[in-house]
Amino acid sequence: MEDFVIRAEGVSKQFRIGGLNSSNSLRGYLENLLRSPIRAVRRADRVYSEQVDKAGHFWALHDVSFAIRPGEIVGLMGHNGAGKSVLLKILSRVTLPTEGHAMIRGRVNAMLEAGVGFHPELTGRENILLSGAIQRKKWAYINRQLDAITAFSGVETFLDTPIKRYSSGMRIRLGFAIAFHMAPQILIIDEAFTVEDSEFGARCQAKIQEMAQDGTTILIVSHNPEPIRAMCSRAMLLDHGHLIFDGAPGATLAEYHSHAR
Amino acid sequence: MMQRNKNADDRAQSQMITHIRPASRLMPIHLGELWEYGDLLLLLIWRDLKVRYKQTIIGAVWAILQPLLMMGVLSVVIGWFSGIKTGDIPYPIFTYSALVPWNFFTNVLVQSNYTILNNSGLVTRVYFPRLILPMATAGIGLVDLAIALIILFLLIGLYGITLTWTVLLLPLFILMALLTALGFGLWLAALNVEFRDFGQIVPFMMQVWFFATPIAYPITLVPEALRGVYSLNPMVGVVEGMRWALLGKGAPSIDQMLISALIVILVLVGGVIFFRYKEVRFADVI
Repeated sequence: MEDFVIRAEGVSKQFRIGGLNSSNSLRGYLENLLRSPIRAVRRADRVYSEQVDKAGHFWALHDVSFAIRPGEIVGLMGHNGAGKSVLLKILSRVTLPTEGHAMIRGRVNAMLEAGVGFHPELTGRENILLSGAIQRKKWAYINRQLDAITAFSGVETFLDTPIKRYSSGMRIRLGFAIAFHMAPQILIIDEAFTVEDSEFGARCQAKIQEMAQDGTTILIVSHNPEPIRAMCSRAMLLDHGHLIFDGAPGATLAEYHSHAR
Repeated sequence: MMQRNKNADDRAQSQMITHIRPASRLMPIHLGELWEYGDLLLLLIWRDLKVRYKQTIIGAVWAILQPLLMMGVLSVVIGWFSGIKTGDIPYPIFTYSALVPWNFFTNVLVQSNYTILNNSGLVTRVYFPRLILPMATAGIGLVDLAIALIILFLLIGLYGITLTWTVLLLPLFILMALLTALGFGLWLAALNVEFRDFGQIVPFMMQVWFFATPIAYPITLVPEALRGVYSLNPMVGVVEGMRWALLGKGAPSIDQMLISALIVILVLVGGVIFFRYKEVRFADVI
């Protein structure tokens, strides 16, 4: 077994469609029990015909296998519903796979959304502390990082203002700054470059490359091809839950565009 | 900059392999990991306390006022109108000493229904032991309990009641109240994610439960023949124990305490297992 930090073997994730929304009450659950075979299949045919089996099971990921080595910056691409976010959620242990096995060597810090866990009533400083604790960081460590985080995000003057007074841009910048300063060994970022602010986007790219040079492994999802081409050493392409391409960013991007749907 | 500090820590952790596999029926509980998330537990308690009284005028005074008002109502309606006798313990103090653990229990149970839902942003975006959430809910209840206890001690002084050695047992009964609330809270937290009906049922259930617990009346009013069944309610043990510890009178029977303790343990262990079993689907179902 060679040197890996993330290794996925036959990872699959199944959802039951039709059941999910309506089973939110006991009545819905009982109703589903009576009617589910017919209804689930009918809905299934309408929406995702290829990925759904007869019982209304939707495979968001299907038999995905790969290995990522230390210090790689890997881009994950795919159209809406390809399974990118589900894969990130499995690797960051938010949800479990239905089948398969993944191994992760080292500590993962995932940012599936900028500013996860921010509470609008709390100040910037308080939210930094809370975000750090969510990422399993000790109080003392976060306090040491406080200056670097505020400098990176550029919210210095608003540090003691409740987050609800922040602009959405400030909130996103603070979210990224926190994610970058949690000393991750493996950093997972979803929808990384939806950042409006191009100056800040460039700063994030530089920071990610610097972290990779220090040995951090990075896995990012982006809809925007430019940062993938500029930063990644490798890119993977998901399509309807299948990993269909894994190679140099340029080749993956070409493949991505040929799969437009 | 930070490199130096984290190196030693990292070397240990970089050897550590996390295995991600499909859910099994019986999910293990990692106590060491729970301990590592202790900071998060404390911060979540602090966050909710801080946010709770935002935009209220009298703020934390509410925590004191609620049990006191309830005590007043019960003293008038039950203590005075119905003429229930509580021995030589004044009725207000008799009922308040039970309202303290009861309010704690009620609040934790009602809030537990929403602990996962209110934190859905976290649950669907980041990994942490989900057990932290119902624990934080119980922790918030403990803070209120502490405030209510201070008032209780003031009242005890006011009524000139002298504490006896039994007050040393108070922590034991507080622990019992905590485990009871946490045990039921785990069931409700897990159930209400999928079946929102529980959020509707619980407040009503608590009203019934209130009358099935010797809070407004002494246990001696319960017919002897029914005491066994009555004691299946673990809050009977908690309330009776708490009252005895504080007021030094009316020692509960050992049998009754053992029944209560056994039920608490069953509910708690079952709750942890059930919560862990349901937890793996929270992010998918919420």
